[in-house]
Amino acid sequence: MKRAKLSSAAAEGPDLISQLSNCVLHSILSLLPIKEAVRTSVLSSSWRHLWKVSPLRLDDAFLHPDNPDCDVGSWGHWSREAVTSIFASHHGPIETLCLSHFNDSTFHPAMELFVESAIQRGSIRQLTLVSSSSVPSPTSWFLRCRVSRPPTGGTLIDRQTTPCGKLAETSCQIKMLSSVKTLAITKGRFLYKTIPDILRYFPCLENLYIMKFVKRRGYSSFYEQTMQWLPCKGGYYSDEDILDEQGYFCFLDHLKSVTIMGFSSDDSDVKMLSRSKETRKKGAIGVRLLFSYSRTAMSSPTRKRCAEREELELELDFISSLPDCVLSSILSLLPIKDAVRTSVLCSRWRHLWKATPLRLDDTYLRPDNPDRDDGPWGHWTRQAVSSIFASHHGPIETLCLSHFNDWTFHPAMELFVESAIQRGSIRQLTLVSKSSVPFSTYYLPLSLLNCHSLHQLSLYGCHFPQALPPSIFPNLKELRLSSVPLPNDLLRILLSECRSLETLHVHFGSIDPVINISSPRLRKLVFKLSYFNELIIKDAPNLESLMFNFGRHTAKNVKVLDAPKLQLLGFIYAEFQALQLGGTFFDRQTTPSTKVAEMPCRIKMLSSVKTLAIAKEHYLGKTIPDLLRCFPCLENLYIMKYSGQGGRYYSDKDIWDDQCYFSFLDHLRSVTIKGFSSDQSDVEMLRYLILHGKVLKKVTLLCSIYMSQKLVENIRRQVCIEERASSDLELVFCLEMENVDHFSPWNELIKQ
Amino acid sequence: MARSSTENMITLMSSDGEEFMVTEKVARECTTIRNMLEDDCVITNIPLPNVTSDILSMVIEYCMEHVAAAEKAAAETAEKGSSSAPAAAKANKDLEEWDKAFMNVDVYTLCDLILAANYLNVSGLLDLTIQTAANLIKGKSPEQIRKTFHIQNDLSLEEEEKIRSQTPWAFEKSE
Repeated sequence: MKRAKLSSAAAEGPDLISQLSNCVLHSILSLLPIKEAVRTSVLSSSWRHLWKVSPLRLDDAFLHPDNPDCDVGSWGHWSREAVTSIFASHHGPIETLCLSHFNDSTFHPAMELFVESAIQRGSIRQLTLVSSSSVPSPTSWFLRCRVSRPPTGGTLIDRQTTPCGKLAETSCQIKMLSSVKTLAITKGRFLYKTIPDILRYFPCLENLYIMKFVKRRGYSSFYEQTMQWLPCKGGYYSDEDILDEQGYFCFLDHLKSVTIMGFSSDDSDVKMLSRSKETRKKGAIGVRLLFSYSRTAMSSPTRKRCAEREELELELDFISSLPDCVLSSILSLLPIKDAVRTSVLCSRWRHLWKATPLRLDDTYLRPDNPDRDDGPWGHWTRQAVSSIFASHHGPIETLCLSHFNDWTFHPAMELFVESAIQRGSIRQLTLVSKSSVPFSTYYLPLSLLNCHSLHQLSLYGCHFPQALPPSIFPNLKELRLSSVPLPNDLLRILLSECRSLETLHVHFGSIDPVINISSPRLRKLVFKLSYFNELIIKDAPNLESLMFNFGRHTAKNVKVLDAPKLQLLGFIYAEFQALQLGGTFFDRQTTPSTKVAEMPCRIKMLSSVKTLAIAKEHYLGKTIPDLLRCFPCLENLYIMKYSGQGGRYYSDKDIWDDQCYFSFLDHLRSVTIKGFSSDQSDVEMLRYLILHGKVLKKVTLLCSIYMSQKLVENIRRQVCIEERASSDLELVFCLEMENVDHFSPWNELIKQ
Repeated sequence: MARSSTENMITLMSSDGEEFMVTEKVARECTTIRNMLEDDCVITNIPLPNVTSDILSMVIEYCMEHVAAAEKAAAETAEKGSSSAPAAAKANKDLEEWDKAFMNVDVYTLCDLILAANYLNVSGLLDLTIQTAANLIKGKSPEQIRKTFHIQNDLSLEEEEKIRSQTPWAFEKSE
């Protein structure tokens, strides 16, 4: 009957509206309430599926049966059925979604499904989720947030899973919801612990609306129903402590307005307001407080109390009147202990350090009085680190955990690392794990491997997990591995998958005896190993520094095949069994001492090297001049001599005198010898360099023993300092122990 | 200083009405002013209602010194073709010494300078003053810090005791 009526009405004139293009009709439909939109499906066959693909704006708070008596099931049953059927049919984009009838925990799976579906469709702009299951606490809250981009996982805040513990105040959520500017919260009569927790999720909050449940008529039916649903006891509960415990909230820098509906001057509200009012004093942004009274006007005691607080804050001193961002920068320059001490200065400073970017290095976190460390080793430090993590909730920039290296403390370390990653701003991380028992090794968590903010990572004794994700350390620039097992497979993956890796340090640890390096991005490579067979630099177009120390007894082969930008190289051992540099191949047994200049290709190859370090025995081998010939543009030469050997004397005066001209003599600016002991071979070499080095500026001799004035004069005469080729040459003698800086780039390789 | 006469002069006016004539180059050290100049290039008179004359004169002194140092370094580089490392290091050291002497002020002035540097967005001065403030706090007990900065302790004994007990390790020295 109805159908006939409809078609006859349509028959009377031309159907102009159906002529419109589908996209126009979609826009029209999307402006209709969902019930009206669904109704259009029976208009005609061309309208039948239109609503299913038009952008959906679904607010189930307004999805009620037209006739209230229809709702035969439990409360909200009708609406839930309707929403379910909408989701079953609709498959277009979803722009707005409000799910308020799924707030009981039994319906959470359905809600989760719908939210997931909305996110999957990729166009959700506005999402409202109500989860107010009453167990176990009588308070409940819901969250209405405006998201400018689709939330991607983790935004579904469920009462049961909301982390109340301080440690878990995670910030992937903080990061995710930083776009939220306006937030509305409903709450019971009293503030519960969750309120601060919720607010922490919204670092850029500007407008806060709070609606209090009060048994009073006049609210929309929805709220009334919700209220009936909840055993709202309205018991008074002082949460003064809760707000005081909370540190600084990021949003206090942004908050512009607070609106409380149902304000009734109870203490929890006043306390909260006074916290947000501090911003007026603190920052540039003025806070405007709006009170919406349902019926009663604000009582005068409340007003007085607010005013008192204001006066109190006006009496503050001048440094405290600096804006928070400035004070935070000051605090971030302080050692952590000093920063924490500022918390007792006054209430203004109390929570400041907790939101300051944290740079925590527990190696330097020691009791002032060494006797205080009453527990086992590191006990004091571990306690301190734990309490820092319990209180601090700002970003973490640098973290070094060295006191958790025993396997019994690994869970704690894992927790802290996880927390640091979650906060999303960790740039520099150092982990020390020294457990030697195989089953208790510390494996890096996967979240660390995926961490985007990490720029520098130092690991001592940790292990990489067996199965690595496809992309690891997306932004890592510097990786230092110490005693970390590094099989060739792992090394290859690290070099190929870490897209930003520029510096790699490997100190000890089991590594395959043949190391193959080829990486397009690597700029600096440092190896310090106790044994190895062969190191091959195959293809490293950007490699600038190659530093290695293998210990002289195991030195075997080093091949630098292709490294056009290599500037810094060392330690080349005079005792290498075989050394291939560019095209030159030195073999210990067969080195032709005079015929080296025959291969021009290798000279071309290593002309980029500006700094070279050579390690040698007491006597100069014949190889030294041959070696130097491979570096035509050498500017800085470092020589480290092994000490403690019975110095075999070997006059190589002839060797140097036989040498024809070296091209590096036009470039050489500095020579540094560590372990100089005035033996004849050194003096001969120096004499040659001083007599021929045209631009030589400085010769530094680091002596292991004290050189008397007479000895110095003697050496100056022997090296013919008066006949130097370069006019502004400086010859410096100093004690090795006191002047470590002179050997600075190489100390890392030498120190134990 | 023939160059400066041809350069644009900017008048900065402090909160108490005093006027300071500076070259545009010096004024541009303040990011806030630079932004103003870039938005409106004909502006020549800038009122700075948040900065008093004594503080503004110090900020200008700092900016002039650093502009002069930068100009000198640039001139040397142009002269020699490439900057020589020792000379640059010496110039840097001189500037650091100057900064150090410049920071020999009382805490009131320091705080005013921080505020002004923050407001005018002079990054070098802000870094310098903040580091100075941090040095004043470093290694001091809460009582000493309160004394240094005249911070009024508005915490009750119980409250302070509570805070201390939360991180007892930080307060051992003062106990």
